[in-house]
Formats: sequence, C-alpha cells, structure tokens
Amino acid sequence: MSMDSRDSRESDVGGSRTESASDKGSERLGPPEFLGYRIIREREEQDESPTSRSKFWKLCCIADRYLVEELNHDIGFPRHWYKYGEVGEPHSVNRGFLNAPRARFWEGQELFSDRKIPITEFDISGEDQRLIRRAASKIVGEFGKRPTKELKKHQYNNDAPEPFIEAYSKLRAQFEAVDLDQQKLLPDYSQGPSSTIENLLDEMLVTYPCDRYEDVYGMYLNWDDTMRLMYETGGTAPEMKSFLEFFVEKISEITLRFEHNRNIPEDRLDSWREEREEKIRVLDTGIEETRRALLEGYEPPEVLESVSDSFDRSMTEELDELNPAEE
Amino acid sequence: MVDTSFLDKGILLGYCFTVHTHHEKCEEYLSDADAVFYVTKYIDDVYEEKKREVIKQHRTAILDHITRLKRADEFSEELDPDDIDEIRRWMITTANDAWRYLRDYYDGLSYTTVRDVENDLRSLARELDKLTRRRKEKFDSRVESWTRDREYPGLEDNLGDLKQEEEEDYWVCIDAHDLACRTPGTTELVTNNPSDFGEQAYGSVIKQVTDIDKIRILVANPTTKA
Repeated sequence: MSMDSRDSRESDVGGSRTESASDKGSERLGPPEFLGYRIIREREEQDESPTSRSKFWKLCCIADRYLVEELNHDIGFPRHWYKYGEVGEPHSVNRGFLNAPRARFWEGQELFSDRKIPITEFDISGEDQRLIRRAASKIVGEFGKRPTKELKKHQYNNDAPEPFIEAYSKLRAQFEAVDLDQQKLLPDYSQGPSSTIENLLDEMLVTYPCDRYEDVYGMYLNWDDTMRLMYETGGTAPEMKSFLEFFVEKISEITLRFEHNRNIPEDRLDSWREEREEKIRVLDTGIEETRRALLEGYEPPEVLESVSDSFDRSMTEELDELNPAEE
Repeated sequence: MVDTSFLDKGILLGYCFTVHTHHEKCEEYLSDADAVFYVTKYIDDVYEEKKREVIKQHRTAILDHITRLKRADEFSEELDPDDIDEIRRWMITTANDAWRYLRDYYDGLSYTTVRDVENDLRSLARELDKLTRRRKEKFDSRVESWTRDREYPGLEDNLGDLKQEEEEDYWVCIDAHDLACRTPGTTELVTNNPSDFGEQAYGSVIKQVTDIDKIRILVANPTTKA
C-alpha cells in the first residue's frame, strides 16, 4: 500500500521537522515573528512545561485568527488548513527567535525562545505591537495549558472552513476512541443505520464540497467505498484510521492548503503546486491497491445479472476504442 | 486447417464481451479451431490497462449516482414509483457513464429503500472488475503468450505504408510473421479489422511478403476469408 501517513504528533506543521539554523525562513523580524516570539515568551512565563512545535504553531494560528476576526487586524501571518487542523507555515516565517532542542518527553522537538530580543530588533508599528501583545496574552492565557489535542479539537469545532472537514475529524475521533492497544474490532456493519462509522461516513458524503474540491471528488468516492468495504470485511480500527489519515493527508496536500490559506507567499504556493501531480498519483494508487487487496476473495451479492447485458454493451463501446479501424 | 493462430486485439475484446458485435464469431472460432492460439503480451497489457481505466470510470459513475441519491432531499425513506421515475429521468439529464445499466437496474423497481438501492449499487460497483476478469480468465486459459525476440527490418520496405498509417497494425503483422517463422506448420492471423487487413487493404501484400499463410477476418456477418 502506498500510504505514507506520518501519524506523529509532530507531523502536521506542513514543512520542515527541525528548526535548523540554515532554514529559518526570511531574515526579517516583522509582525508574524513578533507574534511567534510573544507566544513562546508568554508560554515560558505561564509554566515550566515544554511547548511542542505543534502546540506552538497552533497557538500562533489561534492568536492570528483572534487578531483578524476580533481585532480586525491582519499582520500577514502565513497559515493554512492541513492534516490536523490549521497550521502555521514555518518556511515563510523567520524562526531565528526559536530554540528547538530534541524533546525530552516525546519524539520531536520542544521550543523555547532563543534569547531575549529587544523590541527595536522587530520591524513593527506601535499598533502591531500593542495588538499582538494583547492577542498573544489572551490566547496563551486561554489555551496555553491545554494539550495540543484540545487545540486541534477547538480548531475543528470552531474554525473548520467546510462541514466536510468537521465530519472527517469526527470519524478520526471515533477511531481514536477505540482501544487501539487491543485492536478491537468495530461494531458489526450489518447492524444497519445505527452503525456509528457508517453514519459518520454518510455525514462526510453529504457534506463533501463537490465544486470546491472537484479535483479529488472521483478519488474521494472511491476512497469512501473502499473504507466501507474495509469496514464490512472486518477491518480493525488502526487499519481504518490509517486509511483515513492517508486520505486526509493527501487531500490536504492536493486541495485544502490551496483552498484554505492566508498570507502564503507565491513561491511557497509554487513549490506545493509542483508536488501536486505526484500527490494525486500517490492517492489514486493507494486507494486502488487497497481496494484490490480487499476485493480478493470478496463475494458481493449477485446484482449484475439483471444489468449484465447493458453493462457489457457500455464496456464494449469504450474498449472498442482500442480497435478503431474496425468501425 | 492451420497449426498456429495469431490473435489481434479485437478478437480478445469480441471474445470477452458477450454483447460485442463479433462475440459469436470469436467464441465459435476459439471453440472450434484446432490451432494453438497466441496473443502478445503487448496486446494483453493494452487491454488490461484500458479495462482498468474504463472500470474505474464506471465505478466512479455508480458511486456518484449513490451520492446524488443520498444527498437528494426530495425522496422519502421508501422510494415509490414516482421517485423511481424521477431517478430514471436523472439518467437523461445528467452525463453519467453508467446511465445505461443504472436505467436497467431501476426498471421495474418500486417501493424499495434508498439504503437497499445503495447496497445493491455498491455491490454492483464492486462486481464490475470481477465480471470482466472472469471472462478474461476463460480467454487466458485458451491462449498462449507469444514474445518476439527478433527484428525484421527487411519487411519495412514492403509494409512501410502500413507502418506510416497504422503503426500498431504494422507491429501486429511483424509479431504474427515472427510466430510463423518460428513455429512449424501453417500460421493464420485472425482479426476483425478489415479496414487494414482486408484483401482490398494490406491483406494481399502482407501474405506476399511475410510468412503468414492466411488472414482470417471475423466479423458478424458474413465471415470473410482473405
């Protein structure tokens, strides 16, 4: 199976996994950097528990949303929707104010402020400074002590740009609720409409924005049916969760980060566009391979008999294109 | 009577699909002839690739139809004859690759639930591949695979025009010629493409310049021997 889901709590930042000195984004320390700096400083003042990369960037996004939506102030902070909610775009921010050693308690990095930076080093207006301080203080006060999982939940419940996104987050939560250690089987599909998994897949199906996410629509339909097939044939929660994460990761790379973003520089968008065709190919292949494996030995009820002649006719007409000279 | 028979791609299609115009002729030929049948891996690969593509297209069309049905808010839980008529009208007004057999599926259906229709159509979407595969397996059990390992540049002088016009058919001739050269007895090229292999087209010259002994053209009616 060509799935390359990275199911790590540090994986959803949408870019580099390390804050290396050679890859700090632009050299300028402007309003977005000041927001990041204030967030990390506020966190350090709040308590001594370390801040993960995921948490840091989510706090930045929530604070930027507060700036834009409540204070009506756009500081140009780059963010976009991705696999686990809305994320900051680290490549488009100068991360020189951050120090990111290996985390002590989880796989990944923990973030600290690199040094105390005098305000004169930031190229920002007094208005920017005042509003960013206010936003950082409010958001860290409200969310700083909460686990990253809760911040994700807050984003999905409050900020999801499409009901479809909220719907798949509910399905993910359902899989996470199953005891993964025991790899327990999910409720029997034959239980009918009461099946939670089926209801959640239905919710995704009726909320899928066909026009907006048109490029992935056909693949989504095939993914959905393959997921139902996996469920019917006794797939386990980890298997189905992995297949869901694979789809969400790919639709994020192919569609979501283009459709739902703010202040992403054109060169960054270009680099995503360059990868797009390959991501589409990987999604398509992953779905087809998973489907083929599930259909091995699967015996669907015979429905085709009554329509087999008209099906044959349709297939023949299209396959006859292989032999055009005959006509 | 021939000893070996080289099958063009149209024969594969005609054999595998029962409603194909030339199905009966292809079925009859493969059942009755005593020859050993050969097909190249190239023809097989082209067929498999195209088949996968067409099946995916049809499967997606069925799944799209299910989605439209589930999203429609005009129907009650149970579909009555008026609902079914309305759904069948969709086949006319929307472009759906599966319209023909979806229309047949709804024919005579009434007082059923959306959920039952969904279950039937999901089974259908999952069955498509299986049905075509079953027929292809039957075809595969009757034919041998032929691989050409020689070049025949000399034939290009005489068949250059065919190569220019229909390169794929040119390579069919070269492969069939290779089979004729390397197997004992007589060899027949079997096709349902008279436009290129008929007597009035390249049929005569192919028989003159290659080792192919006969060209048999299988079409619905009449059966033409070149």
